[in-house]
Amino acid sequence: MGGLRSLVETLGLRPLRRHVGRTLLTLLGVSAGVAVTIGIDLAARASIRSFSEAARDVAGPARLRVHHRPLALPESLLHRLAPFEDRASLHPVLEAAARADSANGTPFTILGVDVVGDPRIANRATLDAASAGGAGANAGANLADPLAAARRLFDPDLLYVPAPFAARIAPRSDSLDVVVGTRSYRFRVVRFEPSGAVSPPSAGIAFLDLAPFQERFGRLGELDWIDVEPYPGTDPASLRAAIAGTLSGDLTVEAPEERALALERMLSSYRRNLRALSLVSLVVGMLLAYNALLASVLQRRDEISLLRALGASRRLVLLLIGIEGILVGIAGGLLGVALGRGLAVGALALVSRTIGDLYARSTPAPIALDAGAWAVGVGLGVASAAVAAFGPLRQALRVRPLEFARAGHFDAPEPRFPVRRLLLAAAAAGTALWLIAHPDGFVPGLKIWGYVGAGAALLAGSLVALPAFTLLVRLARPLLARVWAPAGRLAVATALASRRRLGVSVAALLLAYSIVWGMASLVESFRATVDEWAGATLRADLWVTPQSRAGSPAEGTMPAAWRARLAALPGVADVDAFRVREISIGKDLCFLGAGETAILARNGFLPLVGGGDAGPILERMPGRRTLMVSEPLARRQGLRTGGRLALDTPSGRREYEIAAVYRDYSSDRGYAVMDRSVYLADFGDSLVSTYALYAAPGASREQVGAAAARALGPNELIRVTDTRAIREEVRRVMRRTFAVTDALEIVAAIVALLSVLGTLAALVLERTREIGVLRAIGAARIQIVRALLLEGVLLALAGLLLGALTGSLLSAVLVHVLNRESFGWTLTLATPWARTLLLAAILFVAALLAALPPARRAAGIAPREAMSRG
Amino acid sequence: MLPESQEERPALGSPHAKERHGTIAELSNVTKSYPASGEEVHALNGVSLSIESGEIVALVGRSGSGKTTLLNLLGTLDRPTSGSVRIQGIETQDLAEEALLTLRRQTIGFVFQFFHLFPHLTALENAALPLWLAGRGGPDATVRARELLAAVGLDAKADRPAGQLSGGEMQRVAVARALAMSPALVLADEPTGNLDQANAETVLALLTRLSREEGASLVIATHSEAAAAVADRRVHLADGRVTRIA
Repeated sequence: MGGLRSLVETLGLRPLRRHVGRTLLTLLGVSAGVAVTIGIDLAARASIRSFSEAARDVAGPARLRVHHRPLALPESLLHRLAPFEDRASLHPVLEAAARADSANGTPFTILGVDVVGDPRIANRATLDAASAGGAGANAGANLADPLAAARRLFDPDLLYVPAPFAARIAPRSDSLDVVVGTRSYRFRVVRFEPSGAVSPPSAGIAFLDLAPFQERFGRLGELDWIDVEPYPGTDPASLRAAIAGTLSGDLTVEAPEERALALERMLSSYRRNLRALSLVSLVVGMLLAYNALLASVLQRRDEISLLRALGASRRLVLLLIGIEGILVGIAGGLLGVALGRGLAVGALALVSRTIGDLYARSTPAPIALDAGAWAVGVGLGVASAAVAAFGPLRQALRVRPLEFARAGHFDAPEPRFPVRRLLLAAAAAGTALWLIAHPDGFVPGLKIWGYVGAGAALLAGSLVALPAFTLLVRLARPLLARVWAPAGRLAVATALASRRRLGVSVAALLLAYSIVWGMASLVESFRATVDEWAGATLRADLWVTPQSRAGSPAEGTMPAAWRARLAALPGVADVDAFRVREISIGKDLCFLGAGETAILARNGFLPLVGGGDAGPILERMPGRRTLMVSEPLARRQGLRTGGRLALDTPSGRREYEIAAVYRDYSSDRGYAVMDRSVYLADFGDSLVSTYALYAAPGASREQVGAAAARALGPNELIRVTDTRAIREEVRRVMRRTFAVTDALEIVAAIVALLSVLGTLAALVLERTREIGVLRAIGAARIQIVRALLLEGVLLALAGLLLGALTGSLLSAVLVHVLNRESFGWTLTLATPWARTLLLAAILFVAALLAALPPARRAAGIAPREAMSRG
Repeated sequence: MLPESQEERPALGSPHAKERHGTIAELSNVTKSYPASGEEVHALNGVSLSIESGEIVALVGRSGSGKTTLLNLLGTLDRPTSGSVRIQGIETQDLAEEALLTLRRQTIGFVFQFFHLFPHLTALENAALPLWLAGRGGPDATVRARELLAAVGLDAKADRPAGQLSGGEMQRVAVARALAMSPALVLADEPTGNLDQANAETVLALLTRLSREEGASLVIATHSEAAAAVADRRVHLADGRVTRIA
């Protein structure tokens, strides 16, 4: 054992210190990949956790919830559930979206609850604080007058806010203006320490007593849901069954987590895509580590050969060389997690903003680095180092005893025409092409084909990297020999000799550039398609919405009576009153929309999936139970034109015929839209979410907007937005959505460039004697520099050309397969030529710059190195 | 396969053979020291030596006696700590790097113990390499390299990658490369040290014959008695000093 230990110490560990640059490069490759993967995951988790935690906080500790989403419950339902009060406590709840301070203030949720009995808020300290005088009073103050104390407790102006959240929205004042819908309300803040039920400090929730909530926000006689908290000893499942038995068929009793789960499901595509993208950095980092480990094996080939000659088994060689991979994997994993945490802090704002833009309001939770993240990080580090070490280890095991007598740095001979490799590449490219033509994949319904296609495209590119690089160098030989001889000849010769090593860097550059190309094309396709769609469909000139709206189009409502006031304004040709509500279809959270379809048909253009305008269909919708469904919803639910969809209405479950499937890019959650007349009849809800105003020909938008604001009065907190601003906002949202992918592309590109630098630096190190010989027989420094730079040029050219080809294939997969599968949208493939070419130029120059330090080092090699023996 | 006898090989054409007279290289009171483990190690200590035109000199001595250091200085691969190294009358100590490079390129050829060929280049390309480096990339270079390969008996393998040649063949390509620029001085560091006896004899015979045909002086650093035997003079080195010249 002692001998083994000495061997490990001297031949396994000492090289790590001796070649500290190479060790650091391997470490960098592994840790960069781990950092990006962990960082993005931590950021996504923090964003999504805030989201689902908010849902859970709203739910409180209740085990069951009775609701009728999207409809309100009648308050009288509490009486019907009264027989269950000996087995469970019942807590009625109302919910409203609000903003603190002003129309642009922090968004949060106000829950209307019974402040005395509700477990989310009721604790001794809270009640003492409130009854002792409300805001600013000390807990446990003297309660001399119980009646006065009770009156204060139910004071309609008291808003109960968990202290950590109160510190954010009302840090200094005890008074807080709150915008709900189109109105502003002033409350006095009662801070309370959350006691388990409302746990995370980020939770943006405040509480109002039920009665003032109903009164202030126009919800008299209504509840949004009733939480049911079984007493100890009561079986929740049997209680659920008993309650369900007494409810009419369209009311639902379910576990509150189901809503949180539905929210998480809604975000799963986004999260999956982020994860896939971050895994690419892991692969590029792995290539960097592969190159560094291969350099290690090649540099130590003599040593391995000698060891083998002295009787070392292959297993010992495996241990001595593999220990580098293991240690670097562990250290890279740990470093990666630490770096990933820093990255997550940067990415959190981007990811949260995107989630807020696309899905729902999200106040990011703090980044939580738990033991699981460390374990995953180290696991990823070791796994990626193991994969990266596989090839180099195989190379090490092939070294024969006494091979050092004829050692050279050059690669093992490759077959001139690598049939197997090319066949595999053709199969991978064929798979990607087949999936582009058949986006539903080999087994429809499985949401993996986008990833399979993207993986196949990248695999095809990576496999072709080496033969294509070899071909390019051979093709360039006559030109280089003529124009830049002798450096050109040298560059060709050495590039061919080290083609396998250089091929890995070509693959790294190829991967990075193809990802940049693919993502840029996807973004451009989104931009072009959505721009065209927004131009065609957003025909209204002005949009009137409640100022309190922070994310979901279902937030905040306006009275129906405003329609007549807006329609009567001079310069207004048409008004469309549009209502949006969040509904569940199956396990999906989506939107129900109700608009004046005849007006839309008259003024707008709604493109149908498969082509054409929905105008004639929209004209026929008033008075008929028909729906138009958006493309993402139709894809997710398998809905088709002519099919039927059942929705819960206050008068029971109703069936609607699907009149058409239309293209919509406003939400990947999807819309089912009916005519307002049908909605009013079936749902009895006259509230309006958005008024779309069509200006008369020649009327000024600015004047019409100002008139609308005036007509509704200064007390109504509305936002009048010009369509041009909406289109700009759509673009802004898109830019923000893809900002995180930009960041990931940059990381991948940097790792790829490091791979170029690492490869060339390692090659220079290996070629020290060879360069010394060249210097000895008359090569000038500049010739050496030029030869190495030309190798860099060949490498960069091959990487970028192949990257463009692979990127084209990848972009088609992303647009036609992955996007369709994840979001359900049809996009037209567009390539941002200027951006991709500019990026190619930047990467090309960066690759040359990466080649400069090794080239300078090469130029500094003394000719006497040629005389070194062995 | 090697040709049956040295006589069967074509002699190099006279256009490349240069008429040279007098002293080609001259070392005067040269010392060379290296710092090692905090101490100065004297690899050469007051060595004076001159190499005459067309002369074959063997440097003999044990390992560490200073043979390779002496070759490095003669080859302008290194500069002396003190003393003077003159190549064709030019004092190298004062030469700038680029001038030294030109001098080396034009005047000196090298043969190394471990061949140091570029295994991925063909034998022809390896032989032509010094010509390329001197900016002679045209057909003349190919003709000259082919002529040299024919002279060492490898014209049939001219287009084969050097990595696929045997040890003896590699060293013969190295000899061809050393002579490509028709240097005044050929420096060979243990040229037969890595070869079997038959190959060693062949390479040594080629090296001496071709050097003479080219009019080049040849300095061989060697442990081998056989290699030393072909020399006109033997310079014995021990502990960085010349102990005897025979």
